[in-house]
Amino acid sequence: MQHDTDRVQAILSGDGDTLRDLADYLRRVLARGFSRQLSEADLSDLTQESMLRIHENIAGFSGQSRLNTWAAAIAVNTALMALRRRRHVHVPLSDAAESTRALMAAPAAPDAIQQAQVSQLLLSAIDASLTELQRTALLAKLSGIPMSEIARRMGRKRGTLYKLLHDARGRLLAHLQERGLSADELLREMEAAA
Amino acid sequence: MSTDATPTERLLKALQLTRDTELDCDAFHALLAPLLDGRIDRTDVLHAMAHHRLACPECDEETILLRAALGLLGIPGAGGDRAG
Repeated sequence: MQHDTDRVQAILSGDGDTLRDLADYLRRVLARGFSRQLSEADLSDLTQESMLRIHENIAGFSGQSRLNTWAAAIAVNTALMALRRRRHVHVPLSDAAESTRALMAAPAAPDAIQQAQVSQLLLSAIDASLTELQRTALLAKLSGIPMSEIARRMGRKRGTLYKLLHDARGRLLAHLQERGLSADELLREMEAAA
Repeated sequence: MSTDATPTERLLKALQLTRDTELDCDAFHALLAPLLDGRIDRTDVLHAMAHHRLACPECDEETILLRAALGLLGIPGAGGDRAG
């Protein structure tokens, strides 16, 4: 059995046996994790894409984990991103954001006045305190488009998008606080009215 | 969080979970393999990762799927030393 350090070197030098063993292992990981979602062709494509990502990032492998676990994490991430992209490929971010806005701004049904008031309050906070980029990203996320997909379309890393939305949440909380409100309180009011 | 929740409920729950300092998705990913290999013992890091999973359903799903994919292969622990 090769030590992980030797395997990293073998991958870096393009050793055929090591690369084949790793690709076989990743294909089995993906088949187990996504048996119902992926075809044989998908498995081949995603294994290949995972191997490319591993090759691009192997120099940064720190040895904090086993190489197989690190590589499997990349493969599972690659497959999930592909599946999420497939599900949301036809929805432009701006349309998704506008749909969410329309949903939140919809006139209240007689039995949901409280919810409509809270929604209006939050929309006002979004418009008053967030940047255009934050507004689009937040509303698209609330529509159900995955973070990975929003990040890809915005040409940003997922971590960068998370930071952008974390900052947006902070701004919204500050906006509510300035008005003597809190998320806890608003959620309780909505649940009590439901 | 329920998928039936309205956008307003989803936003309020996200606001409830907001902390001054949070792990972002990239930082979480960098720690995921060490977590599954049982190589993280700092409680502050474990708490930060648990919080990120609450705040980010996608990273939570990824963790569950990865754990399952590795576990189903019958490899001792979460990861494996061998390529097979």
